[in-house]
Amino acid sequence: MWGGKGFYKGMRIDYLYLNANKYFLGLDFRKEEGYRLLIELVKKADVFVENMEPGTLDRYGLGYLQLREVNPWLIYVSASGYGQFGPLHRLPSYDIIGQAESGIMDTTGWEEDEVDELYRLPDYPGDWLPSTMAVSAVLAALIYRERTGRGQYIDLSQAASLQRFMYHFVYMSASGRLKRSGFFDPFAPVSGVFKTRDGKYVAIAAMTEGQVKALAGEVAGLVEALGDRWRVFRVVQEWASGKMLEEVLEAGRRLKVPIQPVMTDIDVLRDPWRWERGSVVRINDRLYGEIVVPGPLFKMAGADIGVRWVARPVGYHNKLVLKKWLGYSPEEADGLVQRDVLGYWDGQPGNMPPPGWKAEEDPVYQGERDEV
Amino acid sequence: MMDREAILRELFRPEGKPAALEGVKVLEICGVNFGCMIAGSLLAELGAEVHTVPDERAVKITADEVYIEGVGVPYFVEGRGKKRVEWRDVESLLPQVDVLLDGLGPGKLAERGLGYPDLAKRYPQLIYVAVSPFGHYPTAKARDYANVPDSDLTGQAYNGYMAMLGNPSLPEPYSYPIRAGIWLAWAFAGAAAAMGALSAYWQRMKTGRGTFVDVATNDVLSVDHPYQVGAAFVLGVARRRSPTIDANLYVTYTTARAKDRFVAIATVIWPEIEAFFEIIGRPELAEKWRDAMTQVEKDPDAIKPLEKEVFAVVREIPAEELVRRSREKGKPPIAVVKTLEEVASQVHWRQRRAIVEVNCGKKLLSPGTPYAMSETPGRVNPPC
Repeated sequence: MWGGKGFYKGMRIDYLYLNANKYFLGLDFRKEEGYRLLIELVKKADVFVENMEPGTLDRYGLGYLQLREVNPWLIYVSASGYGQFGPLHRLPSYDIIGQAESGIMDTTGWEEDEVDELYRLPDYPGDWLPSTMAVSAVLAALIYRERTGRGQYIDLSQAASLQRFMYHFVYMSASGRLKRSGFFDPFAPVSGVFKTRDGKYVAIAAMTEGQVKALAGEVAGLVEALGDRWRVFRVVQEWASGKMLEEVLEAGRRLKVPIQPVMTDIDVLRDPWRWERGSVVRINDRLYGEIVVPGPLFKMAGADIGVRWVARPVGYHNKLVLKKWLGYSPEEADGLVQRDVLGYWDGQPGNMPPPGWKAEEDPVYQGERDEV
Repeated sequence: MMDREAILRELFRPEGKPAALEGVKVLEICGVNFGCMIAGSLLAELGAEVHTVPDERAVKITADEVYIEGVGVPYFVEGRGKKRVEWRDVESLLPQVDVLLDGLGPGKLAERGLGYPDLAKRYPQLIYVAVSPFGHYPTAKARDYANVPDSDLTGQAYNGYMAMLGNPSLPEPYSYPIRAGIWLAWAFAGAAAAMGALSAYWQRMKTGRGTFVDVATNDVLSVDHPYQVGAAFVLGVARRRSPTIDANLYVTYTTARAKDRFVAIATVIWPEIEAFFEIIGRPELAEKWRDAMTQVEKDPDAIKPLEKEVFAVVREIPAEELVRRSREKGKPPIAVVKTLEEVASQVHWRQRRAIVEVNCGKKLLSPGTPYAMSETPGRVNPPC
């Protein structure tokens, strides 16, 4: 990850970010005692989430049909590429496979005489968008359970979550295929990415008649070019290339037309708006120290939401979880470790406590206190 | 005895079942902000009763001049299952409303006496959810851009997303950053707003009090995905845009042109890389590839000659043959990149109601619902 720089004090950086605010238990459920322990935890759980290949957990007695007998209140989420039923359901998936199967790659790229290429979408939206949708489904299921006392099974498909936003299917059946869009928003009469005089990229999207009219007051030849996206591109490029980025942005504010810079990672990290809003936050993690993290997905008045702690190594919370959930003593937890039912990180790079960490001096690891 | 799949197909059968959010009332005033409208649609799929004050400018938005029963295609999909109401109905609806979705921008509803502080006094249980480019939370930028409408393209740009998409080796302007082929920023904004609304509703069930939820299209992708912030923090520089080499994993995670069509290849771990070179018949290239990949960060061009050679080999093999070989070997994951036409014709997605057929004067295809839920299945509301 990130050319070998992807470790932060012994922890893989993506793992560190992706697992914020979680408790880490290392449990071997293939052992009879481990299985019984997991079932005791399931009895107390509201939500169970898994992403194995469909049917895998059933073979261990941990499928939905088995766990609902143990806890009828349980909301059970399976996340997979194709879902748990249907002719393709047995196929394994990654984000990129979900993207390929959903059709979304066939919307992304160029489909012109000069260039015919399509691309994966970066940063794994085949994982992130479905998981964001899944949380809504879980919340809806919790609300329903509160009213009725009934749990349920949520079957999340990566590809289906992406397809939900593909209006292309309507066009295909109504008029004909929408071409891959490159940098154009096909729903905006004027749109694209342009290069400014100072060599910066800027995105412009006039979505409505009013916005187009406002822009046409500044951009010579725009009205005449409407209806031909490359002609529109050329006249707007001509306009943008004569201005500095800041001048183009100022025109957007003045004309009330959506115009924004194409930001890079560094621009995002340094953006004063994000720091002011709390979309980028510097936290002081109890274990890993100072780290800069993304803020919450939304702000909610009166609620302190966001990253409270980053990931921990596997098994780090063994004692704490068993104490909180099942009332186990540290000695009972140690006994489970001796019998290989519970385990800890195994020294694998990327899943380690920070250098200098001492188990005996860490009260959370010892199960004596909570993270926050 | 029925097999697992048959049991589950039966379990997820939607007919005759209730919806999760029955009885929840939503009022949306979204203007031309489709992130806001998507939030309303997702809540409607989960069973909420959604009233919308339509904006004719949003109704008209479409591509290629395609209108269905007088509305543009995005509105055709995102207007599903919503009751159209007028501005004059808003005051009478408000006492029953659980969730108010506001897509007009900071201060706009307040100008009509419908700002959150006023409404919260009158309706303490109200959940007010705002979707706007820079949020309602008072920042300098939110004030500067209060009068500038939202758009998906600028959302993708400002989130640092487009900077990672496209092929910089192409001639200009094809080399410029490009967009995800769907309204990705608005999809995430809508999903975030729906999640925020439901979180607030869940909290209200415990406390009896409503709250304000604020979503900003221009940060939603870069807070959901941790890479823009995380990479910049760890590396101190921006990641490089490459259509073939994954900027996070530093592996081949890519689409590629096979003999007859595109495939998607995911070689994430060493055994997958090794297997990939075996199935293309060039096992001797695996070590070379690994060496070149270790140099990519310092010298992005180090891998280019080898990359050219490798993808030239892939180009000689039919796509289905590559998939067959990868399945036979068990790795790496390779899939044929499906065309929209192929996806639409697959029984699988119809069975799951992910893609549905609707009859609106003529038979049309439409996105269905991703909410496969055993007790409260997502609703595919009729678009016409």
